[in-house]
Amino acid sequence: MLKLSPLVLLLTLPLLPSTPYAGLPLWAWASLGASLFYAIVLILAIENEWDEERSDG
Amino acid sequence: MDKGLLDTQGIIFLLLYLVSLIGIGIVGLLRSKESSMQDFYLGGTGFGVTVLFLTMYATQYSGNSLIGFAGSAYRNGWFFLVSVTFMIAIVGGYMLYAPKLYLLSQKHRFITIGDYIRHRYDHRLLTNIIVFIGILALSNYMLTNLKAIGYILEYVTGGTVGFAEGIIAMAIIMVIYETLGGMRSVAWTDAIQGILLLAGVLIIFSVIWVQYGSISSNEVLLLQVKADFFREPLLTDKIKWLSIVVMIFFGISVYPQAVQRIYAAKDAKTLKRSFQLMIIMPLLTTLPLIIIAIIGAAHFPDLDKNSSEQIILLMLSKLTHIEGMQYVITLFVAAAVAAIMSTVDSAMLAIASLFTQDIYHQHNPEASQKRLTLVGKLFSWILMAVMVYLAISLPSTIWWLIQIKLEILCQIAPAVMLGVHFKELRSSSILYGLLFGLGFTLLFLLSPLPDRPFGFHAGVLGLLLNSIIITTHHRLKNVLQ
Repeated sequence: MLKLSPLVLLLTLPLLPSTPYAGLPLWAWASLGASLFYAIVLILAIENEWDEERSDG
Repeated sequence: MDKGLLDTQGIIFLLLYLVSLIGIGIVGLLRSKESSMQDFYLGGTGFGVTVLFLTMYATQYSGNSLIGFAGSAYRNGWFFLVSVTFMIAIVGGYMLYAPKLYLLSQKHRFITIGDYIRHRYDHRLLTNIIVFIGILALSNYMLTNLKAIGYILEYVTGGTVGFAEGIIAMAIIMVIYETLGGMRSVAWTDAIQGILLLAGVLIIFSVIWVQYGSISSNEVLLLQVKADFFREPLLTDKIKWLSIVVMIFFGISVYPQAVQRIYAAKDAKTLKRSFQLMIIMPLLTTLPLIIIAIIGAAHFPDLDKNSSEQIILLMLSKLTHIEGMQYVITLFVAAAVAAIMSTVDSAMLAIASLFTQDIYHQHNPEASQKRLTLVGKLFSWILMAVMVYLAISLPSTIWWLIQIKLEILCQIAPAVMLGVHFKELRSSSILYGLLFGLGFTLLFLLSPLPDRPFGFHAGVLGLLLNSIIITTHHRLKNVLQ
């Protein structure tokens, strides 16, 4: 998960339209959501895979 | 002379804070266990989660994060949310090598990034190029942050403290506490500076949210005065977004001072927890700054580039009729000064260690640890004097250098990241990749060719070429053998 996690960053690209919603364009909400998702993935990956990363190779 | 933003109480608070940093330097000196490079430059590798996390945080969030990010968000609108993404992504970059590098550093007692490169590749030229790139990037960082501190002090004191005087005073304070206690002093002062930075951002965000209204309540105003913030993202915007994230993911995560903090952790669990905390910080620091600046853009829509950098101070200065606001302004100034100092002192420590360990020690292998530490301290004073002179005398037009430093720095990422994972990877593959990547990047940055070929930063395409050369050379060598 740790090595593939950077792919989640592609989801943060501004891909949706700019329709304002609660002060932010829709794409901005999506990018923020994807960044938050990436943060959670990273935290979990560090928690679960740090020791494997240290020992393999 | 203009009236400054800080009142007498504010100036006294700032002075007390600066004097306390020297006190921390003295405590760092008293707590040092031995006169060795390991103790001086890594604090004896004994930092727990609180200090390690706060020093990583304060070092990564420079004055640019506080002042420059707000200015960029003011000018670029919601597009600058890319900074939240890339500040999180930096930790993703660390994760590609930090777990293994930490283990190696404990085994072989590394002090600098050069130590690792020398150990891994045993190639003098490759090590020298990487050390040189590290010193170049860090010097650039020091220079621009020193300039920023001069401008801030001149502005907030209404010219009572001049640009040059401000730089000189701050430089003397930093070099004193750094040479007293080394990494121990730097990390402890970083811890205070980190707390100031976080508290400052969150308090200012709350004040502005309450006084100027939320994002939602400013939507109509924003649509009227900054309609371009709501334009449809074009393909060029998407490419730019991707290019920025890639460049920062690989560039900032291999900063020599960041690598030193990985070595300085007490144990692996400490490092792991510090990184997990770092992932949350963009949401508590970068995001609030962007929101503040965009609310500011709704209320003060016509600022030019230079004025936009001071959007937060401008917003706060319009609230001085509110009781206690002077304290908030003082907190902002202290946070900005803290953010800059924590970055400059860490960069200075990293450059001094690179010079002492990777240049002086290599030419004087018999030098004792005591002598090496002394040389490092002396070098710090000389380095700071040179940087202060350059910061005062060079024109702001040299600031374009900041933009190219990451494009150059990210070229060393394959040497660090691939090196810890692929034991069979040869030094020659890494060297050719690095030379081609650097050559390509510099060709586009220093010639009339476009510095953003196909919309990507030249450094990002250079990194791609760098990786292709490494892979091709490695496979060809394997086939030929």
